[in-house]
Amino acid sequence: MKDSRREEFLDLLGHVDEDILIKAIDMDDPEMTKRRAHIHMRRWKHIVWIAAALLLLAGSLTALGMGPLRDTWMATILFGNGSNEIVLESNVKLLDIRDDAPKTRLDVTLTQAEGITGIPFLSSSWYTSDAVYYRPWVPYQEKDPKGRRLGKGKEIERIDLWYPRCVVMPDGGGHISCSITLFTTHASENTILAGDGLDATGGKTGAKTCTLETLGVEAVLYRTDWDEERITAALIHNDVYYAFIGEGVSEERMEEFLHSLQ
Amino acid sequence: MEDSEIVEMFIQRSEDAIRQLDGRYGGLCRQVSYNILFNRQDMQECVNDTYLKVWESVPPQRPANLKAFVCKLVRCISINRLRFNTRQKRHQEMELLLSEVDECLPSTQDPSQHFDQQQTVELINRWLRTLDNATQLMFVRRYVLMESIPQLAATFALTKSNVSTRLYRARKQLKKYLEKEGVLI
Repeated sequence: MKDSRREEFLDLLGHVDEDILIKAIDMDDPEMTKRRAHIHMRRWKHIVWIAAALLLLAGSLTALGMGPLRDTWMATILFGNGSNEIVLESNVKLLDIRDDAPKTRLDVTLTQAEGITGIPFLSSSWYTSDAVYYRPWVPYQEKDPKGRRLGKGKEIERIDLWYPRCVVMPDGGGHISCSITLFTTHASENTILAGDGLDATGGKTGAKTCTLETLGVEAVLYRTDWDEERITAALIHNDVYYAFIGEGVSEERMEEFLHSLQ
Repeated sequence: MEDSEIVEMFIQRSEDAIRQLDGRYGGLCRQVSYNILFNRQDMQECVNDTYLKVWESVPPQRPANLKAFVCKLVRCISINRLRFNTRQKRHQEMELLLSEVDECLPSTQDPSQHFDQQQTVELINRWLRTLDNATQLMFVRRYVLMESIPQLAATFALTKSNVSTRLYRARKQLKKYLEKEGVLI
């Protein structure tokens, strides 16, 4: 009985005047339109505020030195006092090194350096020495020149291995030293010069490339205009930067040596 | 195409009339039917039945307002389908709506006494015209077009509880009005 009364009444409600029904279908109410516009505006205001807050947060993170999220770096060589640039590789991966890698400078062997970092380095049968200097550090930051030091709480951002006179040619034929650089996943810079000091920014001449089929890479050979005895071969292999620096070594001997790398 | 042209096509018995009607008011019919049935298959059948009913009714009828005409038809057909389906298994939304309708019903002193339908419809229409614009729209969309409370809240840019409160007051008002006019249901 109750159900039938309700349904009957519901039927009756279906007989409302056509003008009232059409008005409800077409929804013409200025008050409501105004309210909807207001809510629409308020929603947009929220979106704009959230976007602004996110931008501010991103800006703050960058300012704090955390840098943008990325996983590669770019290895370049500057020529002619920075007027020219050769990009060795634009997407060199940042490497995961062992968590327990020492944060202090050490004198080690190449094999020990491999053990410390967990990364195998290029070797050659031409090597005549095994003494390597292990140098972990954080890259130079303009606002904090002393920030390279690995203090408490700082992570290793970059590792340099200096391998002096790794090859000494017989009969006074000169020697080759090697600078090895890798950036870790804690690195906070976007573009990192492949070399430091004079080697990075000093004038260079006679750049040529040399393909190393065994390694599947191209090395760039160049001479410096501030030391005519010096010849450098730079290359990237397995996301590690190598600069082989020859003193009194001919270009042909340097190329021969490069082909011995494995 | 204008409503009058579609009506003319029905009168001329043009088979394209239903296609034109569907193009113009198919969305509205499906929405009203779905609000009642909550079932897509039933909804489509009811919409098709509505078109058939229009085909059978026009002529002899010549609706002055085609939109209101099909809207009332599809509502009526959908409610009948709902009754037919099962009284026991009504969906929750319809149960809620019927319980709300209950609150509009005037008290009945004599259960055997039935009210005059035409008179009650006229009273309801008169009462609706006394409402403010927003409440009138809300009431019609809820109890004629069977829109749910969340739908209304979105349409009127109000909270669900705000919509419920407004409708509750309107129902109480309608009940009082009908009782005052001496309607017995």
